[in-house]
Amino acid sequence: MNSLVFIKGVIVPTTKPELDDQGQLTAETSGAILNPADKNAIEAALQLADGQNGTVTVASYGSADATEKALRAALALGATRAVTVNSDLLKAGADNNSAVGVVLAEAAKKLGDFDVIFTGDQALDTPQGYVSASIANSLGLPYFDDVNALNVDGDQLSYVTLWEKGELTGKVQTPAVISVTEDINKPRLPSFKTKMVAKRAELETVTIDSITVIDQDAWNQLSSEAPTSRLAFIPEQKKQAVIYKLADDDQSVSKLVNQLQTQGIL
Amino acid sequence: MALLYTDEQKDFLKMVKEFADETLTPEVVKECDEKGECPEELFKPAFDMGLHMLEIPEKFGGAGLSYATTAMIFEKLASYDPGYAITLVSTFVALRSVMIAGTDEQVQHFADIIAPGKFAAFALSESNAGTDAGSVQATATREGDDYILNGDKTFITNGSLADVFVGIFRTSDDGNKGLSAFIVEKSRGGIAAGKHEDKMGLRLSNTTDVTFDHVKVPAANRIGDEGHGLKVALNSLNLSRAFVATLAVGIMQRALDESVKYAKLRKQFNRPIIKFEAVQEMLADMATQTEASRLMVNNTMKMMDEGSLVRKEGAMTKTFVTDAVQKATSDAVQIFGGYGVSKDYPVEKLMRDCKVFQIFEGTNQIQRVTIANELNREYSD
Ligand SMILES: Cc1cc2nc3c(=O)[nH]c(=O)nc-3n(C[C@H](O)[C@H](O)[C@H](O)COP(=O)(O)OP(=O)(O)OC[C@H]3O[C@@H](n4cnc5c(N)ncnc54)[C@H](O)[C@@H]3O)c2cc1C
Repeated sequence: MNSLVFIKGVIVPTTKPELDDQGQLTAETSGAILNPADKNAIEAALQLADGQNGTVTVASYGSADATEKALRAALALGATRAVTVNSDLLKAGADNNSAVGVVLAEAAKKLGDFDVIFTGDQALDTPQGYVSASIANSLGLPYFDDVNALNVDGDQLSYVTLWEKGELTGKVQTPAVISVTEDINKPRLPSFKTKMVAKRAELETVTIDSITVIDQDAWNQLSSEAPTSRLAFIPEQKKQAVIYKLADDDQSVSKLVNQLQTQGIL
Repeated sequence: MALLYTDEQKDFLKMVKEFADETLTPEVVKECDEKGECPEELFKPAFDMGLHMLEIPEKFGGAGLSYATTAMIFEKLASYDPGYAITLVSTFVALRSVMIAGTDEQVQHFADIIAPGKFAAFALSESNAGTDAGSVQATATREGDDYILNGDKTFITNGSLADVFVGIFRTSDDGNKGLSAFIVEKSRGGIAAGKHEDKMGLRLSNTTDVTFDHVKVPAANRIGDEGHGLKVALNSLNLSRAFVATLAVGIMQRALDESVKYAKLRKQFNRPIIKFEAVQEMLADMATQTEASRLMVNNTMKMMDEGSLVRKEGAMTKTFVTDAVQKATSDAVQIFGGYGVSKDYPVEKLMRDCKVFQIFEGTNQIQRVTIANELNREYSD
């Protein structure tokens, strides 16, 4: 099987984010790393290719440094071809995931025929997770989200996806777009040799300067939308410690039980 | 740590840590140590990562890393289990010895055998030829275009695992000049390994006798000229000495890590024992010796990267580091007190594992002879 995996280099905080005196969230960050779920997507693609002369193309859109880091990390894992996606169409809304998805769909079309287009279920830095749905929608392909098990049977893929109420299983004929969770597999470690080769490997470039996969009006509207963003606040946990010491107070056990009952724990 | 690592080296060290955390868990290491076994399947992930061919040039299927970088990676691996590390080191050192004196075809042939994930071994020692390597008695007799190999080798690392050997055999009675080196594939038939040596330490590493019984190899398998076998062996040992030393640095670093952690936790007289000067002295010496050893290995590796034979430096590094590790591991046990001798704690194994490092690859006594001979030569005019 031949797969295309869209991957992203993400910058992750290495310290706990804190508010500075300007009211801005700041944290020390790593250099760009390959988005964790994308490693699972690459592994899923490698497993479909292993022993079958299959290929794994990886492609990435983003800042030059992040893209290169992600692509070289993917080559080190065993990807066969790596492509940088360039486009000026997205300047205003680079964080608009639906628009990014359309550009990636356009890139997929240019890059050839693939049995499966993989993505990770979400990027750590823009966790809305719309990109893969937008790719599938633009290419008119079936789409399965949050897949956590995948098997091939001829040109059929059987999958298990996760949703709130449990697991959903089914079969789909390729080509299809699949986003995977970090539970789908355990990504392999790169070999030292492929890592060295990946360091010097040529990266291809594909430039997207017009959109053909969806109609122009739809594109104009989509690309002018403000980026959708979601802020997640972590509620402050109120903590209170009460210590009942048996040595100080022979009522302490019943006081403790009382307290636990009031809080509904017992 | 005193070495300045490049970003790439840091990345490699992270990779090997991730690998070893998963593959060489304390439970796995303990079980192999207790049973004295070397389960082949434990090496599958190492082969997949190419850990057995790190410093082999890419054109022969290796990763093409420098000796210096390879040594850093193996130091880390040895801190988990030096027996595991030496199994891989012995494999690439055997290939290296073909590279030193063999043709490109021979190297490629040997590399093609081990690249997919096979072990190799270096068979020099015999029951009566240890330090005196020139007294090898196993024979290679020329028959037309072939040689027939006969004889017993002792203490061979990877003896029962190897698919291919580099063996030193006698081709004439001319003493040291009567030895020749051969590539011997297991598939030739007539090769049998004895039982796994029941050793005090390094118990995961497979050590066996190997018997060669009328093993027929083509003359094309001879490495270098007839009569040059001892030179092939000694040049290969020059290189491997610094690798043995890097493994010992790994053991020392482990001893230090365990000792400091324990000394901060263990309280006597209401104070952590790290507050006591006598304990501090042991820790400080251990840390200093570890740093010095690591630097010495690094420098020798860099010289090897520049093409030096490191005859003197390899011997000095091996001797200094493998002597230092004895005291470091013994002090680690001392710092753990009674718990130190218990097999439920990690340091007694370090003490057992490190002893053999003073013995193999040339004993530390004979290394000192080599160092003195080199000095004598250097100061000869
Ligand atoms: C775990 C293990 C793995 C090994 N792996 C391999 C392997 O893969 N391949 C291989 O070929 N061999 C291997 N060996 C063999 C190893 O190289 C020899 O054990 C070593 O060279 C010492 O030889 P010996 O044991 O015969 O000791 P001996 O040579 O008998 O030495 C006994 C003592 O005498 C001292 N001595 C001897 N001669 C002199 C001298 N001239 N001056 C001063 N002191 C001297 C020695 O230093 C030592 O203290 C291995 C050994 C062990 C224990």
